[in-house]
Amino acid sequence: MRSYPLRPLLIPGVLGAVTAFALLAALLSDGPLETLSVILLAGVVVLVILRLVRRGRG
Amino acid sequence: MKHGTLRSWFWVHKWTSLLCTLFLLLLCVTGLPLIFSEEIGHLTGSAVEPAPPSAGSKPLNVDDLVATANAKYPADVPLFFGWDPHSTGVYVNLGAEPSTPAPKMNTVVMDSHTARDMEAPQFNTGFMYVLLRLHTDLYGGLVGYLFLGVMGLLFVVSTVSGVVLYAPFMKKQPFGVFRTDRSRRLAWLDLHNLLGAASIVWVLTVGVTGAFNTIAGPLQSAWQADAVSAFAAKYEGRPLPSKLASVHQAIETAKAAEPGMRPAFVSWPGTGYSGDHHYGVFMSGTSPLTAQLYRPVLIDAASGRLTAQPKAPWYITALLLSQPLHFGNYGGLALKFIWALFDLLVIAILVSGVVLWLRKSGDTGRLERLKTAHGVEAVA
Repeated sequence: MRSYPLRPLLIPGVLGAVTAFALLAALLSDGPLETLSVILLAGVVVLVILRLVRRGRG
Repeated sequence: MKHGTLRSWFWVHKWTSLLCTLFLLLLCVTGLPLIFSEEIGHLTGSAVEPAPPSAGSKPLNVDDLVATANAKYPADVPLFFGWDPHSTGVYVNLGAEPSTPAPKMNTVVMDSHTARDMEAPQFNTGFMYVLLRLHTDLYGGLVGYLFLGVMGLLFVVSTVSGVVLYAPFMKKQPFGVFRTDRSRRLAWLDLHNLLGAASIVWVLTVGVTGAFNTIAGPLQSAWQADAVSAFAAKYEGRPLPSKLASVHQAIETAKAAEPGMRPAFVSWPGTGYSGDHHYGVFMSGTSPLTAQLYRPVLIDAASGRLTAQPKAPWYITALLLSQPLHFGNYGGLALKFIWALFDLLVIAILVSGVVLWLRKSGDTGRLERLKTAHGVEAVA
């Protein structure tokens, strides 16, 4: 029996960890850490948009 | 993963998604403008703020402010008094009786330095209030809250099952693959997978906190019963206070009892927040985290003396922290824009999920086509 493939979850996992850090950092602090949180969250959204724009690759 | 296990997860993902999609779409669409409710309020004039105070002016006595508000609605009794943390504005909620529910309250917004009535529209009227009710309880009261809570939980299960399905189907594909040169169904599937994979933590955070917020009413009632019962015996058999002590003095007493904190709002006896014999002065901290948490100071409404400073139990702390995490209103405008973008991503996930379902065949056929599309060999 083949084991569950974890490799495809690597990048979503990293994005999830970044998102979780940013959400909590903004809640626990303000100032530079909040700015960093916004940048990180915006980065996740921009990554999605870039993947959609550079479509047609498979 | 065995074929039967995969089929089970597929079944869970399909049905939990189908059951909640319509309501999740409603929540996402109504939630989008609610993220910017403060800004929309300023633009439309429904949220008013007093001008900055002149140098040397001080806030007026709270008893006088409450009396001024009460004069506008003489048949009502005061229920709550609160401060706008960003200006000198204060509000007074009034109602026909102490237990008046929010939809029937009258509110007066004033400048605390001049007692000038800001003539603000009532918070429980207007288009944004309609959106809020649709977003929170579908005008169904507690039943509506709980129903949307169940929808939120279904959404969480749908998300988790989607993650479980993601890995076996994507193991032959690079992250973020988006193939538009083959079938349209495959393009929708890639879009669904990409958006879901990138937003999973945000989706789970907002989904779980949203579902948790729907039981805020029962949780607050449980806390009331618990906190008040601790000293209820002392007040057992006592009549309700006919003459109330100064609320201004009650606030000063609370400030002295909780140095380093500031008052956020005050509840009158009988409002369901502080029992039948007490003012509840709800203090909040000044750091980003503690500003989200309230510490009640109970002041005997007849004598004006401090009775208790009950510590909030874990479930109330969790509830208070889950609210900003759901609304995204704990940062600045930039964070609200991020929230709106993620909200749009979720709408796209829901729509793509519906499209995939509409272009349906039997589950077995669909599973096989999915595996073929993603280059998955026979699932062992």
